[in-house]
Amino acid sequence: MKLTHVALAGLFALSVSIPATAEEKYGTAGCGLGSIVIGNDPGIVQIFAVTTNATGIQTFGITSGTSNCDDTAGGQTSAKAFVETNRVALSKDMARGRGETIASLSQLAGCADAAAVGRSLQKNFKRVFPKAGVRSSQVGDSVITILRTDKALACSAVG
Amino acid sequence: MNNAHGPCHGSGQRGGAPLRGLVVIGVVIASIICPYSVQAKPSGAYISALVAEARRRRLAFEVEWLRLGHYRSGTFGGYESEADGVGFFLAPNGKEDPEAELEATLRGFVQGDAPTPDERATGSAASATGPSLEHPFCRFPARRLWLTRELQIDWRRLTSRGCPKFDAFLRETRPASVTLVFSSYYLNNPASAFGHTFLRIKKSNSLGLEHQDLLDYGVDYSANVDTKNPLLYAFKGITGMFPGTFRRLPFYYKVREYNDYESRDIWEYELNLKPIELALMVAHIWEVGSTYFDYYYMGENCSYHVLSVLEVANPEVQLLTHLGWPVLPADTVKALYKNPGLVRRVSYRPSNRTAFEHRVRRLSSTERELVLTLASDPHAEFPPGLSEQEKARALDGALDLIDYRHVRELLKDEEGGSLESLTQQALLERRAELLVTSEDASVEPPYREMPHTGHDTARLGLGSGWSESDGAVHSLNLRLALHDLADPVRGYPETAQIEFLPMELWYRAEHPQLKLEELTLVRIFSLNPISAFEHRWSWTVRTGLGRIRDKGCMDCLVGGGELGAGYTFSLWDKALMFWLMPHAELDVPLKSGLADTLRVGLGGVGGVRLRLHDNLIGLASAKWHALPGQEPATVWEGSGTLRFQYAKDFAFEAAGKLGPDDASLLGRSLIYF
Repeated sequence: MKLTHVALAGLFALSVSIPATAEEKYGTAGCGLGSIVIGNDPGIVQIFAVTTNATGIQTFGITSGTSNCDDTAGGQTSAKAFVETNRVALSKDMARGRGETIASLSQLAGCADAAAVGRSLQKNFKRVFPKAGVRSSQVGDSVITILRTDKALACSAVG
Repeated sequence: MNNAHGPCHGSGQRGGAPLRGLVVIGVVIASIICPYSVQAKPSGAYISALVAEARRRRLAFEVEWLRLGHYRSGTFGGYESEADGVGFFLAPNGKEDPEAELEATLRGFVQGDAPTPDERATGSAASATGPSLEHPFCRFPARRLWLTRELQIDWRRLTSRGCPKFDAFLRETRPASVTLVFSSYYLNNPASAFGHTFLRIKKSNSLGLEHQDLLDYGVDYSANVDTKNPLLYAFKGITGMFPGTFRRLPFYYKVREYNDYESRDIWEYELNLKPIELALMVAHIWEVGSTYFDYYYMGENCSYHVLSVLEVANPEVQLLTHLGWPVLPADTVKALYKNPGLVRRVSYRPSNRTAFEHRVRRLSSTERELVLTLASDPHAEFPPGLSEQEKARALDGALDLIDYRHVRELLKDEEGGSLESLTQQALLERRAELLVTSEDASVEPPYREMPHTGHDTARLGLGSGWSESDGAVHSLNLRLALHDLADPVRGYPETAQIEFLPMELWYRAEHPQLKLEELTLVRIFSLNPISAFEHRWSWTVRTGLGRIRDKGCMDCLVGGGELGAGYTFSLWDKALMFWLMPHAELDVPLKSGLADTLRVGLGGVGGVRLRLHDNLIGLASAKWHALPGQEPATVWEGSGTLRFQYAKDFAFEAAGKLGPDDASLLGRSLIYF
C-alpha cells in the first residue's frame, strides 16, 4: 500500500503545495521582500538553490518568523520594516497619493490622517526615491524622516 | 483606500458584535495568561485529585483532547500523534498514549518549584529539556484553557506563573477572527500548481481605526527543505523526511509574495468562531509553533495541518474527515462548507495582474494606447488636451504593467541599473509630479472562480461507444486530480488545465479483451490569451503512457512525453479561446526493442475551446506531426469533446477521435468525487 503511494506520487511530489521555508540565512539580507521571496523563487531550481544550509528544527516558538521583522505592533521599527518589505507597492501608492500600503503605514506610524500622509509622500517622492536602486533601508529611513518632520501629519508613533 | 479588497459574499454581522467579542476575548485571554499567584503552593494532593477526576471521566479520549494532541486512531487500535517534536509531549510515551499525556500535562503545569526570578522575567524554565522549551504551563496554553474549563481547576490552589512570551504573542496578534486563505493555482511553479492554503488571524481594531489587512498576521505550515538534489527532494518529500513547521508572519509578506510576486489571486474564508473557540485555536497555534510534524507532500501537507489546527476550535466541526488522499488545497476550502454556518464571509484580493486588467478595462482607447507607449518610453509626450486625471490614469496603468511583467527583474535588480528599473523610476517620478490622487481601483471579484464552488478533485468516467479498430467498447476512466479545459468552469481558472494521473481502460465487447488506453502521469495546459498587454507564451506538457493507432504502429502502447509552446487568442471574455503551438513528441513502443522504434514527431497542435454556457463546454483540437525518417512520414489526429454539467459533481460528455487509420466515438458519464 505504502509502495503504491510512493509510485503514485512520482511527479505529483513536485506539484503539491510545498512552500520551502528557508529562514535565518536571510537574516543578514534585511527585511526586504527579497529576503523571503528570492528564497522561495518559483521554479524548483531556486527552491533547491537556497536551501543548502538549512537550520535545524526551530524550537523557539511561533513568534520567530523571519529576521526580526515580524512585528506589526506599530512604532518606528515596525513602520520601517513595513516600508522595506512593501517597497514596490508603496512606491506606486506614494506616486499615486493613496493606497492600501499608505493606509497601513499611517496606522503603524500613528498618523492622524492617511489621506494627508498620501499627499505628503507624493509631494516628497523624489526625496525617498531620488533614483532607481536606492537601498531599502535608506528608503525606510527617508519615509520615517518625512513622517516625523512633517508635523502636520501628527504621526505620534514615530515622534 | 483599501483598494484591493472587498467583501464578495455572505452576510456578516459587522456592527457591534466585534467589540463585544473583543471584550469576551479579553476576559478569556486574561484567564489563560494572568497568573493568580506566583507563590509555590503544596499542590500535590489537589493535582492528584484532578488526575483521578480526569481518568474517571476518560477526558483523554474526548475529541477536544485528541485534537489538541493531534492524535489519530491507529490501524490496529490505539492512538498515535502526528506531532513529531519531542517537546510536544510531557509523558515519555505521550505520542502514543493520550491519557498518560493528559496526566503528565496536569502535573507538568505545576512541575518544579516556584518560578525563579530569572524565569519570571523570561517565562522559560531553565530545567526544561532544551533551553528554548518553555515551562509546560506556558508551552501549552490551549491544553490549560481546555483542562481548566473541563475540570474547573481552581488556580488559586496551585502554583501558576507568568508567560511573558505567550503574552507578547497574544498582544501582537490581537485575535478578533480567523480566515482560511487560499492562494490560487499557479502553474508556472510546480510547487504550487494546486494552490496553497494558510491562515490569517485578523486583529481586533484599535478604537476608531479602519482595519488594515496588511497588518494582520498570517500563519502557515511549510516544509523545511534541506536538500538541493531534486531526486532526494522528491523522495524525502514523499516519505515524510522533511520536518514541517508553523510560522507566523505579517500578512503583508504573504500579499507581496502571492499577489505581487507570483500574480496569484487570493480568496479568503472568514470563519464563524465564538470568542472562546478562537482563543483556544490561537493558543493552540502557539503550542504547535514549538514542535514539528513530518511533512508528507501528498497527505500531511500544508493544507492538512492548517485544518488540523482549525479543528481544535470546536469539537463539532469536522474538517479532516472530509479530506481524501491526496490532500489538495482546494479540498480544504470545500471541507469548510461541509460544516454549515462555519464560513462567515468570503473575500477576494486580486493579484497585481488581475488588478491591472481591471484598471485598463476602465480606460478610454486613447488612454490605453498611452499605457503601452509609456511602458516602452516613459518620457513620451502626452497628447495635447489631456486632463491631469487622464494623464494619471495612463501613468498608473503603465506602472502596473511594468510591475507585473517584470516583477522578478525589478526585485532582483538591487542596483537599479536595468532598463525595467529605470523605466519604472521615470514613470513613478512623472506620476508623483502630477500631484493628483488616483481614483479608487477596487476590483469586482470573479465570482465564477470562487474555489469552493468548483467540482470535486477526483473524477470517474463510465461510458460506451464505438471504435473503428476495436468495435463496440466500454470505457472506464479515472483521474486522481484535478481539472481539464472541458471540465465545468466554476471554481477554476478558465485558462488552466492540470491533470495528475488520468487513466483509461477499454473493454472490447465483441472480442472480449481489456486494454489500457491511457495512463498519464501529468498533463498541463497553461493558456495565456494574448492582448495588447499580454505577450506571454501558452504551453503544454504531458508525460505517460498512451496508445497509437496508425500505419507506423497499429495499436501500440507507447510511453513518452510531449511538449508544446505557442500563442492563445481569446474573444468574449475568454468564452472563445483558440491556440496554436509548435509541438514535439517522443514515444517508445513498450513491447519492442528501444532504439529502432523510437518515434519522434515534430509539428504542431491547435485547439479551440468554446464556453457555450457555464455548464456546457466544447473543446476541439488537432495535431499534425512529421516523423522524420520514419514510417509513416506524417501523422495527424483530431479530437473533440462536448461536455455538459447537469449537477455540481456530475457531467455527461460525447468525445470523438479521428485519424487517417482510426476513428472512435464515446459517450461518458462523469462523476467528480
